[in-house]
Amino acid sequence: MFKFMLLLIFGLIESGSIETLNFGTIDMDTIWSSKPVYISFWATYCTSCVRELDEINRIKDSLGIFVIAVCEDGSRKESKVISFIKGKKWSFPVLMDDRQSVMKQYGVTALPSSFLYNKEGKLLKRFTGFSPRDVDLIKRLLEGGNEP
Amino acid sequence: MNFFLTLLLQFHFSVSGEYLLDKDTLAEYSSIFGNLQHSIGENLSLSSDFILQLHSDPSERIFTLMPQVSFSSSTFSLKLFDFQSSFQNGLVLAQEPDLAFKRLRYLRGLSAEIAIGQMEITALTGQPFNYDYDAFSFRTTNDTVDLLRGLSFKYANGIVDFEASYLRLNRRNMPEPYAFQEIFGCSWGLQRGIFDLVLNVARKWGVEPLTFGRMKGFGVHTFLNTSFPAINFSLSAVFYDSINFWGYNLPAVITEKELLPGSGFSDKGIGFNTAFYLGNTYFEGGLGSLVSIEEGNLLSPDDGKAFQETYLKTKLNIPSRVEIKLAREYYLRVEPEYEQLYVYTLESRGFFSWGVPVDYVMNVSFNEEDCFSYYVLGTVISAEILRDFSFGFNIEYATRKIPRYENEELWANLEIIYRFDYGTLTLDVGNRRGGLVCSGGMCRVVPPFSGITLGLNFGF
Repeated sequence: MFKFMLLLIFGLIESGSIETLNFGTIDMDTIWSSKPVYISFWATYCTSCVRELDEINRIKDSLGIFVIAVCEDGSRKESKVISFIKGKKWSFPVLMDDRQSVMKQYGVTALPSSFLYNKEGKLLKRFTGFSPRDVDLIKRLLEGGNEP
Repeated sequence: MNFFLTLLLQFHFSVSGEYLLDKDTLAEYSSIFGNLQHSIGENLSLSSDFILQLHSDPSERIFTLMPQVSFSSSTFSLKLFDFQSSFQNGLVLAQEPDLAFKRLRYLRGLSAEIAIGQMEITALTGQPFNYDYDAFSFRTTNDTVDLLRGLSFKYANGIVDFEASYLRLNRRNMPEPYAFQEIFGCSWGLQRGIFDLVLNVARKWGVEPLTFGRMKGFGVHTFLNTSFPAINFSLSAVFYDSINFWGYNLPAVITEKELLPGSGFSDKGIGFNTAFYLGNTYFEGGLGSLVSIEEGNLLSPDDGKAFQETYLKTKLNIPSRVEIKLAREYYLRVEPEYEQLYVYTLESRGFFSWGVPVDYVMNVSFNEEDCFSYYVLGTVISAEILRDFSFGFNIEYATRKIPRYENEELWANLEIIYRFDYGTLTLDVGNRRGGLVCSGGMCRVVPPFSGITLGLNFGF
């Protein structure tokens, strides 16, 4: 029942295995319920997205969150994305959303868009766009606080 | 009760719309692109993309639905009606969306996928149709009765990827009713330790439209990335000789500008880039060259070597706050009226806190065209003055009137963005030169325009 509820809440990358560009295959069943999860939709041409993921990469270990970046560049730019993320030394998995199916599941229409879930799988906050103030808000929400 | 709760939780809706009012002509442009999706149980999904366009010009009004019924389980999935697909990273088939430029590509038909262990087989048949967004309007770009049939086999075990695919096109509106074109290829990928290697090859066969002669094409894209703890290198090379498959494939591009000189008909080139950290400073450099090798003929003698681009970029990122880019680009016959154009760009972008978060972009470019040269100076400043409210000001000035920009020399616009959990609301007033614009934490492609723009992105 718990798993079924998770399926209802999370959408497409909620369970089973997902194929990533830089971390091989990840079993999502082991991720949920072990850590808070941060899902970010981004593209290489979106400078705000890159800035957001640079910040998230810097703080993710101290916050203890599991980060998944969903790339919307399209399959033909896969090589460019591999080169980009390896150059950036981002240490979180990146998956290609070639046909924007994950994006549609999450109702995303603008980049960057991000979703923060707590360890219990509850959606704490959906972010559209990026502001440096969001980093403080993420910390506060994970500590159990509310939005200002 | 549980049934209705399930229905509610599995309902997704997203919409991206804009309204423009041209200050000179008072023409109104309004368009919405969206998606409605509903899941029934764990396996069945009903969805539809839609376009609603209500311009003041009645001939541009559109309301269209792209419905899809899909069934998916762990081993089998089936898609009916309008779906999207790509084979070999676009080299063989690229009927997939391009979000940055609002190019919407679909196939209307049937697609089936079977996954057994690490293998995946896809078979599809469908009539392709595209909607491209250009000059504030969605338009159908291929109103044909073409029919595509394809088959793809994939194997991936985390170290080695392999894909083989075949695509056949029947063109019913050609003089020879049974004429067909076909393209097939293979790609290999290897991920081992510090290496990523990709080799993507395709071959095209077919019948010439009018002469009924034999048509041949060949395309290859290779990529090698090697990543050490301190430094990352990538090397790419392409050779595309008449590989364009009636616009239904879209080969990868290796250069920074992501332009294909010969639209994939006949391009060759090589690209290299490196990225590394030195302390807290991030460096990135690139060098790429892509040239059309298509030869002119009696009907179109200007086709030969239509375009060439080279660039060299250096970017340094001091503690993630400032980015400096130096680029040199060379275009040969970028537009029919220009033989050549050199562009030298120095750009700095970053953010700082001045009581409130402030983003800025400053750039200077020196442009050298056939008969004249000029500088373009640009500045964008945006500040989040209130939480979730950003105010941006963008100004660009060229040191002379430029024919390609309708003899304008000054562009300025003011933008207000409101961010809320489920989307953004944007108001923009002024005139814009056009291009990819990022401000207030958002990026989008903006065409040249003078007037008022209202934008809404919303989804749940």
